[in-house]
Amino acid sequence: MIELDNVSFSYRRGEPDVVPALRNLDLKIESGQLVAIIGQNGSGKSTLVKLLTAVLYPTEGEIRIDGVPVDREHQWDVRRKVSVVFQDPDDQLIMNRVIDDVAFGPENLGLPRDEIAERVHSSVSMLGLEDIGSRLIEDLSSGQKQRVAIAGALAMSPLYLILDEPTSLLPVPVAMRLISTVRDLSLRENMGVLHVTHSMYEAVLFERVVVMDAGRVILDAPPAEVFRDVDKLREVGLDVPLAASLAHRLRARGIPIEGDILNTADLREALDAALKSSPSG
Amino acid sequence: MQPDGTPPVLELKGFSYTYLEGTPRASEAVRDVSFRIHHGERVGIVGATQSGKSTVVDSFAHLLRLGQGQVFYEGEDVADPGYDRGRLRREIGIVFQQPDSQIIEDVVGADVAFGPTAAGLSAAETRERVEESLNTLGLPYQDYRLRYVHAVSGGQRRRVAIAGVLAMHTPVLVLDEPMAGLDPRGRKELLELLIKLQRDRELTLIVCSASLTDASLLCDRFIVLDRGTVVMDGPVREILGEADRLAELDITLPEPVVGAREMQKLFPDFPTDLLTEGELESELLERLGVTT
Repeated sequence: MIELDNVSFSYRRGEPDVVPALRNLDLKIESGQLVAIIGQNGSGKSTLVKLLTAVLYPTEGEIRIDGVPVDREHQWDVRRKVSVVFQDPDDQLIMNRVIDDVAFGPENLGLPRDEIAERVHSSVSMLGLEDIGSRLIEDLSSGQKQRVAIAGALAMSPLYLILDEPTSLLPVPVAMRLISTVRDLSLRENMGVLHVTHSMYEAVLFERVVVMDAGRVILDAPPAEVFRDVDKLREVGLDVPLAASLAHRLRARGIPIEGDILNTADLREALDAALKSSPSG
Repeated sequence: MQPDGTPPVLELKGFSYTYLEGTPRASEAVRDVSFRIHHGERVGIVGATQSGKSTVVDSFAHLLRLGQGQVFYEGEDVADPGYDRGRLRREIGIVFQQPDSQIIEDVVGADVAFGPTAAGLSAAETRERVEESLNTLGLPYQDYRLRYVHAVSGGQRRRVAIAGVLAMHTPVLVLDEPMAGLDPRGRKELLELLIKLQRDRELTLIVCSASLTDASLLCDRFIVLDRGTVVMDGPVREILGEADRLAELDITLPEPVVGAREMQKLFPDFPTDLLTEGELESELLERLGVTT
């Protein structure tokens, strides 16, 4: 479990231009949970990622990952439990060939050779990279590179995979395939996933959506519940999936839209039901 | 030629290009692409990844050695011996997808000044251009000119890259995936800004994207590429009206169009040439018999 206990963090602490980035955050994430974290730029998402990967440490409060406190003394223990994938794969791919990059992490853990081979093999096959394992990374598309970055993160056998806007530079169809793979992995490996994103269409695919604004969590619930709160999301500068927003507008017009509306198929079904039950239809 | 006799700003005629031609790794990027873009048009060159968009953009700036076909700028063949290719660099501003690939200085003001200085403008003129470009992009000159490029956000870095191109005062502005990596608020702001900029300066605007979401609000015409060839070319609404064809091309459709296609399962005659959620809502309300 990831536990954040009254966590605050400020940049440039003690200086006149101090920037509070996280304020009194309480958050618990169970192992194996699929969580999307949304919020506009400056809401504290990236700071949260840096705290969970022991790049920064809380100014106040405490974070524990699987019981291990996130502090300077335990930074390496923390980093064995969480792996992170960044927005731009070029920031984290360092070797020339795909399989060498995937092997880089386990090699640096000093694992025995056959275990390294085993981890590389399974990560590569989970991401569907078997056919391009010996290719040069520079020859790959951005979507393929991001898969290699995820395979590298997986080869560390983390308890939690943290995805820091890994899809924002990818075309939507490629991004959707990537999220679908991550979901499968999480279910298979019982690995927790924290996915930071701006895309509401990705967020609806997760079990739980945490909405951040100005360093605080303002909504934390399953997607159907979060995306009912159309006005609140708009207020903090976030998009709402079109189907959820339309459902909101149609309800305001007195059209009985029942149930959870997360995508246009849900909306079509709800409309169909409304048409069949209405006396004039 | 337009009715008044002015040639198109840009014209591609039978343009084909193969990377690494003549080697075992040769790959054909575009084949027999022809189109004309006129002054003041707002054109979206759209298609899935690998459809040839970037190759077409590179041809505008004469970054590729032409194999087959011709590229004309203002009616002149850019491959002619003696053609002043510096003119292309001065008149066609290109903002690439990754802002970092075209930001060269460490400090915002210096980076935006790079182009005008290199073009030989005086210090005073350059300063004026930098101030104007940064202000236009919502990065107030006094606040931003001395900031480090690496210390501003990704969205701001993209604006710095655009400001650097704007400062060149090019009549043609080409943007490759301008919205990639921006959050919803950043996208909305940049969209409004680009629409205003295009109108105020009567720019010829060319936007490359694999997504029609923002391009449909920014452009009035789409040229659709698929595996290196032009498969559709027409006004935005006309193209969106053929949503089924677009959906087969792995292009991201605008949300109102996705919604409209779903509604066609309930109302077979539901139109797909919709630009906004409001338009989708009115179509729906009409079919539900609700008077607005």
